[in-house]
Amino acid sequence: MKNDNWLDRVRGDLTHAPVEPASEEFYRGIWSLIRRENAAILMSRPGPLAALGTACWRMAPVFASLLLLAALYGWFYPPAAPRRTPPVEWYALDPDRDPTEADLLYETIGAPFDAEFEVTQ
Amino acid sequence: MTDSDCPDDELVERTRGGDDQAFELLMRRHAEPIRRLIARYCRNRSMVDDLAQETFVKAYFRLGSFRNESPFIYWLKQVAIRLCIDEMRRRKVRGGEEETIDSVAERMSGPDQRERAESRMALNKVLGPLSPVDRMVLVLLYGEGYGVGEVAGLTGLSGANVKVRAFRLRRRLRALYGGEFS
Repeated sequence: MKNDNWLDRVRGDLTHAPVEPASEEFYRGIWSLIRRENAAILMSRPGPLAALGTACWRMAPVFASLLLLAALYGWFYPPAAPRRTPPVEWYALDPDRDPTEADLLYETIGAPFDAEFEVTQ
Repeated sequence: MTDSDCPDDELVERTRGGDDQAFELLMRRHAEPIRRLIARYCRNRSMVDDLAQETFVKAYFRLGSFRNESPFIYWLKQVAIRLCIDEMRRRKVRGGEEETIDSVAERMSGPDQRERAESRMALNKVLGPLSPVDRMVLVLLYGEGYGVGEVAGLTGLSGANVKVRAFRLRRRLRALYGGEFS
C-alpha cells in the first residue's frame, strides 16, 4: 500500500500539468516556421553551375584515380610499336619477277599484305 | 468520409503529395497529446509551445522517413522526445530557468493548489539532477503510462537499459516520497 502511495503521488505530480488548448496562434506559428524553413532551403540550394562545380569537385578523387590507373597501365603496357611495312621497292630484289596483283595494290594504297609479301619473297 | 474521419496514414500520404490542408488536420488532431507530453517533461512552460511547434515543423520536413509501420502519433512522439532530450541537454549546459512554487501554483486550480504546487516542486527537485534521458523515461513510464517495451521503442534505448533506468528512478523516488508515507 505504501508503494502504491508514493507511485500514485509521482503519477499525480507528473500528470498534473494542465495545458491550455492550443491557440490559433500556435498553428499559425507552425506554418510560419515551415515557410521560413522552406525559404531557407531554397536559398541554400546552389545554382546549376555551382552544383556542377560541386559535383566535379566531389568526383575529383575518382578522376584522379582513373588518370593514375591509365598512366600506370601505359607505363607497364606501352602501346605496340607500329608494324613495320616492307619497303616499296621490295620487288627490286627480284627484278625479273612480274609484280603480282597484290604487289600493285600495295603500291597503290600502301596497305601491307604480309602473307602475299612472304609468299612472293 | 469527411476529412476529419480520414485516417492518419491517408493524411500523411496527402501531405506527401503536397496537400498542406491534410497536414493542418494532422496537427490539430495530435497537437494536444504532443503538448501534454512535452509539458510533463519540461518544467519551463515557455518551452512547451516552442518545442511542440518545432516537433510539427520537423515532422513536416521528415514525413518521408515515416514508414506506416507504427501509428503516426507514435512516430510524432519519437520526434518530440528527441527534440525534448536535445533541448534539455542544451539547457543543462547553459543552465535553464527554474520554476518557483508561485509560478506552479498559478497554473493549478482547486482548493489545494498550493499543496500540489509544493508536491510538484518536490518532484522537480528530483527531476532536476536527472539526465535528460532518465527524465524522459520517468515521464513516459509514469506520466504517459507506457510499458517498458514501448518506452524502449520511443526513446531508442534497449529494453534492458530502460529497466535499469526505471529501477534506479524508482529507488530515488521512493526515497523522496516514501519518507512521507512510511
